[in-house]
Amino acid sequence: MNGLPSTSPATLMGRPRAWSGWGGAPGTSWAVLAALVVVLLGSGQAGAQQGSDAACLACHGEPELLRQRAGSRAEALALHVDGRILAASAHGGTTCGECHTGVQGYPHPNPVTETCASCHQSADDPWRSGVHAEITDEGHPGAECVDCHGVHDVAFTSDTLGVPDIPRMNTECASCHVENVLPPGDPHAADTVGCYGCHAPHATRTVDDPLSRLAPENQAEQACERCHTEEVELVRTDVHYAALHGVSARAGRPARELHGDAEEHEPPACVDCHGGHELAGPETALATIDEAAVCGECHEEQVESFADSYHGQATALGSTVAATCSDCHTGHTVLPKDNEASSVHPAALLETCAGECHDNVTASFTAFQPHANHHDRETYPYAWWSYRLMTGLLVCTFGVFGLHTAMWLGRLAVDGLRAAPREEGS
Amino acid sequence: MSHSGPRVPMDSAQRGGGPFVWRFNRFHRWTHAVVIISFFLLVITGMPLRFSCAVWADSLMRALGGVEMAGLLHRIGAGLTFGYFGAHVLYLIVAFVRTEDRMRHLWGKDSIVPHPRDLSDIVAQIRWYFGRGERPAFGRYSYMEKFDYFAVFWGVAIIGGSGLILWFPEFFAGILPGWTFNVAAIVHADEALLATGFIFTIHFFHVHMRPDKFPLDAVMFTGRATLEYMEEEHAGIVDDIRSGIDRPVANTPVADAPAPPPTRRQTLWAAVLGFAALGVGFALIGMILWAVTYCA
Repeated sequence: MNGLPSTSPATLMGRPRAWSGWGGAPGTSWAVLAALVVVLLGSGQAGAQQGSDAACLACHGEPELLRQRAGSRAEALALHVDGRILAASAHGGTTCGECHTGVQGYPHPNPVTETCASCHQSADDPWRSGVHAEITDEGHPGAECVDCHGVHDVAFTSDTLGVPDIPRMNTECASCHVENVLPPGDPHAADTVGCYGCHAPHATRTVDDPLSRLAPENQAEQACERCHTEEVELVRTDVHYAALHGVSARAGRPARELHGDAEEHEPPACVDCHGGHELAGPETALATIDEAAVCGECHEEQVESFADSYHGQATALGSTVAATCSDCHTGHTVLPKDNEASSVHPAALLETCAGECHDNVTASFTAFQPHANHHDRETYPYAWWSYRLMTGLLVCTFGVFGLHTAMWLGRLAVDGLRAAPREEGS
Repeated sequence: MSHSGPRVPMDSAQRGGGPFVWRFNRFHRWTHAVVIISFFLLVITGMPLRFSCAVWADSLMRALGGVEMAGLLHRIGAGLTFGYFGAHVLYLIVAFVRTEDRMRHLWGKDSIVPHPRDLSDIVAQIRWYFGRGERPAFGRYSYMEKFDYFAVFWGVAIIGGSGLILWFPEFFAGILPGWTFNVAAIVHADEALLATGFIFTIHFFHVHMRPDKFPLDAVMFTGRATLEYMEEEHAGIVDDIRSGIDRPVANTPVADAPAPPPTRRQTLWAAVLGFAALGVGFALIGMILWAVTYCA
């Protein structure tokens, strides 16, 4: 196709002298003449729409004819319309003239293609507010109506059939967003979710746009809840959700006062823990999220003390039995321990520790401090003293015996050096 | 350096080539063997947890069959430890009841019980380090050996006790306050580190690595040592031993009785087991130092 001379559609349509296909085989010429007759007759019968479409397709449905007229396969393809595809499409009931106005008889020098908005205002408005319109205005190709919906093969959507063609939508998105294609097997890559499941198809916005479905404040309700109803219902009581929505879960503390720096420590939304495209695969399903790493992005101190505990050590080495963050703090109803609804509130610990882990849990058992920091004398005096005493014992023992051993070695070395020459002399 | 004279044997307890005397009976040797096995089992299965941040922790844990399997092996090691500990206490009681000279059993140069003489031995040893005197004439057990011996009692009590608390937290929560578990976790880990570090450096040095013992002292495996060895290591009792050296050779190990020399086979086995234990011990020390250097 690249090797063929380029002829613009305007040339083909508007200037008969430039046509070059008349000298074809006699059979083809008769077909062209017959087609012309149909066109001329058809154009004179306003209102007979079926006939009108047939007239258009008499030329535009014949690729060989178009090729001869255009002189280039590429031009011919651009002008070609497959009548069967058109008939099966969402626009199957629409006549050519409804979109292509200004076609008065043949030749048609000034055809006009109406914008989609002339009918689909409700889709065009959100598209204009989104990032795809923005980049189109900047001259970036590929983000207009037809780039996703097709030209004559316009697909049905949920409005007409009740089921959007999700695999096709995924394919359309993937033609630009290659790096965001979900791996096969990812539950979100399934035919029932797809890109559209989370991303708005017309009012597509970037995540940093506060109006985006995926803006932190909107994620739960606008992207995830449609499927994950239960989780979103739960997360509405969560401290992170509360903080995201400017509500304090802890009396007397501003909602966003996390380590005193709200800019650096934005409360997490759904994908901050669960991941977006990169984490949602089945191999990283909820059960295998590295919670210590995810929670540790903000809760450094707690994750450090966790790593010092048996729970953390066993988890770090691959145990799936030992408790991780969510086993005690829950996944979606995380609350500070002074909140009575919290799973780690002293009154709730009996139940939390028992869970699937410990039998015969008593109040004394729950007094164990899983996040004890042996460097914090004020809060954890027992851990502090134990650590101090044990370190002292280690230092003293190795100090005394190390010195004792070193001196022993020194003595024997000196004796050996003194004995050696004597031995050689004897 | 010249290598005149008799070839130095691998087992430094065979220095001088003979005559041999019995030093440790079968119970001592089997107990020590179980100590070695259980100790290695506990260290190898416990260290990955203690140093879970170490580069080697993950692969070692996988080699052991995962955290749960390592936990089971650790508990088996604990069972062996409590087993030999109980058996040894029983042995001590029986030996004490059966002995004719109970005073000699408890006090003096034949006893393992600490004695004021050990203090003067320590002073003498340090004077010897600085060339201010002769090496002290140790009794049946030097102060270093006594320390090693009682360190096991201390270690089993502290590590074993805290280990039991961590093994059965629900039970112990009924009789102990909750902070005990925090203390037990710290004490268990650090005391274990102390025991491991001590055995694989200090014990290995003064028993095997010092130049007059290098590369191995297998007396705890074969049960017997030469008179020359006893003369150098336990000069305090060598006169008693020498006075009985003309007695007939005893095939049953009786302390100080003349013993048949270890066979080649016994010597070889002792060397294989001894070097294996030394090798694994040094490797573990290397791994601990690596972990301590590169993670908290």
